[in-house]
Amino acid sequence: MRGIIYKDLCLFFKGVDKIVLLVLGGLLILFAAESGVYAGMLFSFALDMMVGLLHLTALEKEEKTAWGKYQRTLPVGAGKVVAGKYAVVLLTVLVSIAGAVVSNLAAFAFYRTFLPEALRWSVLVAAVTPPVWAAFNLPFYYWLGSQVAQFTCFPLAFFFFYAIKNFEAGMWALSDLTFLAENVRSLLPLALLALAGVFLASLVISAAGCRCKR
Amino acid sequence: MENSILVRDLTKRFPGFTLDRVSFQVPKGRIVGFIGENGAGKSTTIRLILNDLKKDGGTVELLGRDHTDPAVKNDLGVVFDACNFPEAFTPLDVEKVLSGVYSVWDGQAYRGYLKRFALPERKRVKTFSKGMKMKLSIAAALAHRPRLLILDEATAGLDPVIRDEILDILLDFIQDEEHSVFFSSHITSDIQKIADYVVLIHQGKIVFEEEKDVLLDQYGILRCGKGTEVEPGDYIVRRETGVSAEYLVRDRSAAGKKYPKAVADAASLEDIMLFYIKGEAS
Repeated sequence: MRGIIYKDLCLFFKGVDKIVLLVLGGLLILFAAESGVYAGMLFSFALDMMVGLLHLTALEKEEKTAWGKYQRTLPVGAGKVVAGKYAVVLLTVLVSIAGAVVSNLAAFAFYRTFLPEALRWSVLVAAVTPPVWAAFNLPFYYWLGSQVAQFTCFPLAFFFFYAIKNFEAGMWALSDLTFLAENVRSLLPLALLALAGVFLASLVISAAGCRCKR
Repeated sequence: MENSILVRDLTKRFPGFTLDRVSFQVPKGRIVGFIGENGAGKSTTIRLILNDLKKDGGTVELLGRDHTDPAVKNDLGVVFDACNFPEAFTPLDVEKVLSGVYSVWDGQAYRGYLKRFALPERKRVKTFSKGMKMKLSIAAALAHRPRLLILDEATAGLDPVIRDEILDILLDFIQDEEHSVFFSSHITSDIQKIADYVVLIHQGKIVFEEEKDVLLDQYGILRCGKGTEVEPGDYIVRRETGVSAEYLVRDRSAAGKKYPKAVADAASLEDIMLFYIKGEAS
């Protein structure tokens, strides 16, 4: 399984090419120009989306060379293959959290303002987005292929764009988030437990799909 | 003789195609060529052997164990008709992945193969030619010290020089008596060069399983004028041309003596395959 995890991590990081860097750079400039100190938070949301997209492009790269056909000749079962993929999704949470911390701290330093609520929200969204993304997309990938999985990521992407757009337009403010945070704080453990349940259920559905490919 | 692969009555039904009670064996220490035209069932048979497809009937044993035993895959090296490593990988990435998958990994042997094949360790697979990609696939298939190598059209689309290099590698591999190779191809000249046994499949059925030397030394083509009739028991398959009839015979010297007016020529594997596929059985 060590090899499978290395393969998925390697494909994830090799997906960070010039285009990805250009898109992230462009978004950084856009947010810095329009959102002031919130640029760090909005950029971290965009980075979370990019982490999800990089998992999808990694799957596409595997499919392009029929890696799955080769993988089935290796001494590793379908359960381990899928578990490896989900483990890598969890590992890349570290990337999105690191991105959230760095981008927020950079924005705070630049604008000489510290907004702990923005940092807290960025880290929370960074921790939750990749597992939600994986839980939503990977079953589609294992049952129906990467092309279908690409389409299923649209609702999540729309939600992110909607959130970012509202922040940029001033329709949402950090005070709303603070208000929201105060109200949902008691529900947070339950929500995280539900997320873990959905993540595990998604893993089981994906493993069944991987086995059925035979 | 011990077998590395033993296939008995292997059956798989698809709409419009059936692999029909296929039986053959790959003896230990031998190279078995698996020939047949495109769509004859070669790749389906290999996928069934590898347990990549569910069989509808029959049994498959690999290295003395049932083919569904996951542990048997540690002793298998598989090369398909295309390189399956993601294009962003380098040969070093391939090593890191596979060394973490197989229970045994001989890194020294792997790097030895990379050197022998002149494959750069740090260049991405997408920069490689088709020949280089196939050599990388073979290096990866050999580095975990398999006892059985299964190749599915691994030389298809390669130039003769690279094909020859790959055949040399297979001959090196088979020097160890514990090793075996099962090699499917529609390029019969490759099989003719290295195989000890040949299995011909046509429309999902095994037509013959024979020693290559018997096929090449004893089989022959009897070419007769229109007036000469060959008795049905004396030939295997007959083919009509515009001015003559040709017969595939099991013993060309005996046939030559019995029909002195006819010309008895040696038959290549390609001739034999074409006769079986296009001719009329006796």
